[in-house]
Amino acid sequence: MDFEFLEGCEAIAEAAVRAGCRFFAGYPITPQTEVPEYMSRRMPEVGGIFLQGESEIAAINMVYGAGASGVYAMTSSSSIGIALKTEGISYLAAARIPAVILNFQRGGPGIGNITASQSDYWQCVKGPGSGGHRCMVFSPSTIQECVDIMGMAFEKAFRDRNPVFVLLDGSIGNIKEPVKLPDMKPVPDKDAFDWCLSGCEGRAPRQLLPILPEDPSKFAEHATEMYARWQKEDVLVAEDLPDDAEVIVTAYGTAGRIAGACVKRLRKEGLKIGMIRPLTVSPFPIASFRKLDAGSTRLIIDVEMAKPAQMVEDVRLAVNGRIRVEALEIPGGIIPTDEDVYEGITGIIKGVNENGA
Amino acid sequence: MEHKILIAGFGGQGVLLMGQLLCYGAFAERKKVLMLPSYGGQQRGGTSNCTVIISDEDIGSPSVRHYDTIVAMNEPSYKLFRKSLKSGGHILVNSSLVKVTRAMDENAVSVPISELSREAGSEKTANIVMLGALAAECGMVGKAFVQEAVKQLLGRKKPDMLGCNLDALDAGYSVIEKTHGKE
Repeated sequence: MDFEFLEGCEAIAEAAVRAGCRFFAGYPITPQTEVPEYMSRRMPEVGGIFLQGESEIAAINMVYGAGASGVYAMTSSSSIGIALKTEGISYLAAARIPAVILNFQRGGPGIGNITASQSDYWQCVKGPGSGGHRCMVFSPSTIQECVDIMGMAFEKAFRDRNPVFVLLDGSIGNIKEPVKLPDMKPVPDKDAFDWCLSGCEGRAPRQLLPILPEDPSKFAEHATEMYARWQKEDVLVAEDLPDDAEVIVTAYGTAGRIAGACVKRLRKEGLKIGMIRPLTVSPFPIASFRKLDAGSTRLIIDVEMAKPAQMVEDVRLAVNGRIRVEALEIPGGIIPTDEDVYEGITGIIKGVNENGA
Repeated sequence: MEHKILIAGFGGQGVLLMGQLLCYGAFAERKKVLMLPSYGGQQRGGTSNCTVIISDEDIGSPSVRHYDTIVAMNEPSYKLFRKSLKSGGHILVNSSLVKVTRAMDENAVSVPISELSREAGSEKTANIVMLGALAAECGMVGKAFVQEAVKQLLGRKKPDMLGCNLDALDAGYSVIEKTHGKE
């Protein structure tokens, strides 16, 4: 059989290995401990290294070292664990060292709970560390999408020499779905990276330091250009936009799959409804919202497992006041049922119809 | 068509194995499948359950308000999850441990898994009897695919038990066929 039946955490970890990941440093935290567990067994099989740090901060700094040497390196954590890692992530961005970071969001703030949540959109998209840097952030909805994205996550991280997030949650990590894994790719040749610390015998030494050069504008200009290029070249989005759509639903990750099933049901019931499901939330699919015809589309409903909603701010910026935007907010730490989202969306539409714009 | 299932019992009753086998059968038949095991905070001997969703279309939430079918392998599971059954749905109960009859609960179907598994040759196949009943009840997966899943997943590990397991599966199917035949 060409499909395997795997848990999200396992499938994602295996997809990383097949993409060429040969260094993993982590620290246990629910709901992602299955990732380090899998890597502890798998890394030695492929000649890679697994390390459990003494803390999240230790793990991200181990990734800093591995990435600096030109190895596809990854770490994984959840919400509060990512908060601890942000110091190291900021260092990676400043030193221009690539890495992939998985964030299995759980309910928060504080220790919160161990259930799925989308309360850390801001954390990954807006503030992945001090100093105002950005990371590319992938936002898959199904295990298959996660697996398909892993190769790309490493490629973009190394192309840009910048840390990349895959924004997940406790649900996608713990469900099982049939998945088609990618083929095993060869490990990239370090010599292809003219910046990495691979031993300087016979060449000038290199440095990768998390400090700004003498002229700070150099880093800022490079980074700003990079972020602008992402917006032009790297947006991934699943659009389901019928010409006559009056209502557009938008959601990412687990909320995206639930809202997607709900949109299909509502369309069967005769509603003129479409969907914009970002697969990258940084860069955000601005163009998908800009091209909506305000003459036919009168309402956008953003569905998030976060209250107050977070991505909705980027939706509003993209729409720029042309179309009404409402949010269906499910508090982080609760996985809504299909019925919850159906009732929420139909409730918002009913409210807007009754009270007008 | 979509069918949402909860399989609940205590650790060691093969709750997750039943879910796994049904899922393998379903996706071999190219259905969409999702399984959410729940054993996180539970301890050995404590309760364990798993949600299985089988659908012809993309599956939305792993979180379910009302199930089409529930399997209760023990009394606490019956008590805890009975309220989560969709009206008109069936709750299949392990009659050795759940003393609920059709007269007490018209949605309950007693499956004598201990007796039937003994007849099939081994009490170890009790969960496979229940799997047969569940697969018949849900009606989303062809019997040949469930049999194939049992052969693939269990046949390799314990080839000498395969005959018992397939007989146990048949026994479970016939409980549901007889029950619904009477309705």
